[in-house]
Amino acid sequence: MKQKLTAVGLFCFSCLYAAGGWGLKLGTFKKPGPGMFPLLIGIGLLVCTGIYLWQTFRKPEEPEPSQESVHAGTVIQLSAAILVYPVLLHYLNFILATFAVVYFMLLTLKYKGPVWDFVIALGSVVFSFVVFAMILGVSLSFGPVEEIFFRLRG
Amino acid sequence: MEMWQSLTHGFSIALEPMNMLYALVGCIVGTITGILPGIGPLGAMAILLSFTLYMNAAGAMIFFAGIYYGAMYGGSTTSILLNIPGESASVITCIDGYQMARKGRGGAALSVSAVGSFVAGTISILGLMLATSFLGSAALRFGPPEFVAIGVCGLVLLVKLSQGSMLKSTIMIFLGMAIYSVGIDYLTGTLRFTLGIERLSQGIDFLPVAMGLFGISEVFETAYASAQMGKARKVKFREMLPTRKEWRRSVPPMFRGSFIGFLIGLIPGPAPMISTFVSYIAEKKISKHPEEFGQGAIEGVAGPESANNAAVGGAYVPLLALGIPFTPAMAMVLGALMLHNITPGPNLILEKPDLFWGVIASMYIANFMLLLLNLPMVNIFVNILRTPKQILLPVIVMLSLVGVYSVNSSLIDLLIMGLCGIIGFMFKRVGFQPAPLIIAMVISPMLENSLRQALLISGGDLGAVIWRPICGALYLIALGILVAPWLVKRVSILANN
Repeated sequence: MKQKLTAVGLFCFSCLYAAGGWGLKLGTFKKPGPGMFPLLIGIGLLVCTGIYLWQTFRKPEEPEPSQESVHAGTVIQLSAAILVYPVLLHYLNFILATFAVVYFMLLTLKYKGPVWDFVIALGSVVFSFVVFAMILGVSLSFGPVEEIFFRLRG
Repeated sequence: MEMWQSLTHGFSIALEPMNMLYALVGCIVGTITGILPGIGPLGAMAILLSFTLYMNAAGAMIFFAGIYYGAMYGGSTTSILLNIPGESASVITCIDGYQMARKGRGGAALSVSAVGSFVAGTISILGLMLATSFLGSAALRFGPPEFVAIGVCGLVLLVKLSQGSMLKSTIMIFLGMAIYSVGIDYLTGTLRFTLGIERLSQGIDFLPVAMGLFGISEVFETAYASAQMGKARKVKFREMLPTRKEWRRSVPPMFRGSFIGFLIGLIPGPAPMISTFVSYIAEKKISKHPEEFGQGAIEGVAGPESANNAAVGGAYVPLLALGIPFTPAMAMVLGALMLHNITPGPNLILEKPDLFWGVIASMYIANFMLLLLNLPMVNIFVNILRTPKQILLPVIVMLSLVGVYSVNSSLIDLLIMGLCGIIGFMFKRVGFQPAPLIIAMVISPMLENSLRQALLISGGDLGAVIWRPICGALYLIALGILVAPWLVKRVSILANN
């Protein structure tokens, strides 16, 4: 099933990409336009994903391991945390957003219970803020909480 | 003579305190990533790529060279002591290395592996110096058609030699090219595939894609696989000395492995891994006691361990001489250089001699550091395996997030990294490897620009672009590589009939 979904997804992407490439100015061999290279890529992609789609649907389906869903759940939760991070960063700035994501990940990975995970998450985020932002001068997203640290430094 | 003077100058740069520190930190990080299963040198380089922005270009290259060499050393430690290959290039070492450890000769295997890696590293650096100087001066005569031919030939070889299906590798190459094509076309100013998102007009950066595909996807992979770490037996210092017989049996495989590794390193694909297999097979064929292989033959450790380190040096040749990375690790090194607005190529030696010779010299130093570091500290490094993955994974994710955001302060880059991590993980589950994608993404700008320049110069004559002596030869090589296995198969069928 996974192979089939991937094949369909890739083929759809190829169709969209080739159509997008076709819509750009192709130019001529004498004066190649911005669409020539994308069109070549699009054709190549379309041919390869077409063959892959055909091969995948011809092959009999392989049974999937039963315990996969347990670990897949962990991966889905970790993915969600990483995808939500840009939104959190936009509203909460570095320390709070990163703490929320790291704490959630520790809880998901079931390390030592909520209290220990809280301490570890807080410690690692504050440590990384001090090292990267305050010592190395890395530009991160700063807000009121980060300002407190800078004021403490003086 | 001039080369040795340049090398001496390189040593004066590499021995600067900051550069020594970068080499040391790189070696330690590399050894740790080599030891930890799942987080390989590529993942580490991808995660730390953004932090190289805070170093100078030479420092960044020295740091990455340390990581790459360190990972090769570190991978062998767990292969020998625990039968767990830290990274793919150490898989073959498990066979005889672990058998030696079971017989109480693990320390000797580690010593032979470390000395072999040092010898191979030194030989490959000598090869790198000679080959890069020669190829670099030859490449000065190359025009756009030749660069198109090199790019095409490299991608064909990559498809052929990558792990897994050729069709899947080809799809990944086209996907890498498609990702590159997003953004403004610098020759005409036309926007391509930006979907109306302003940030995408600058194109999709290499950094979030690489960090997502190699760093974040490896985090998902490690979370997904509930691997249990074994417990290593402590290695006593006196056990580390190989016997005279063991030395005698190890030295020739070290040299053979070095040459095999260097030559394979020049070819696109997962060179360190392939070189270990080729070296192992060669040693078994040459050996007077092939029956000992698999039971703890020291040649089975010395040859492959030398080969994987030599392959690292070999892989630098196409990058430094032609500006083309043939392996994903070299794509990361190129990414680090691009962050410093440096494009490697034939002119690198002339334009940036400090960088070039400083890096070469630092490779010697990194190898020497690893030899001094790894043997006495083997027990400490092995203990790193006890770090719970529940702590390790969030820390890696946090470093990746900080790293990507710090470069452009872009939330879109963070999103791209997350999406690439998910896509990379899903692709790996269905047998697609991300390496061809990342290499294609890096080679594509040169390929498109050279192709368009070549067509403009030739007045649109495709024949003039293809049928030049060097180009023709390269296209024939590519065609031969694609067709040869099929031809051999057909001929053997006909012969059998």
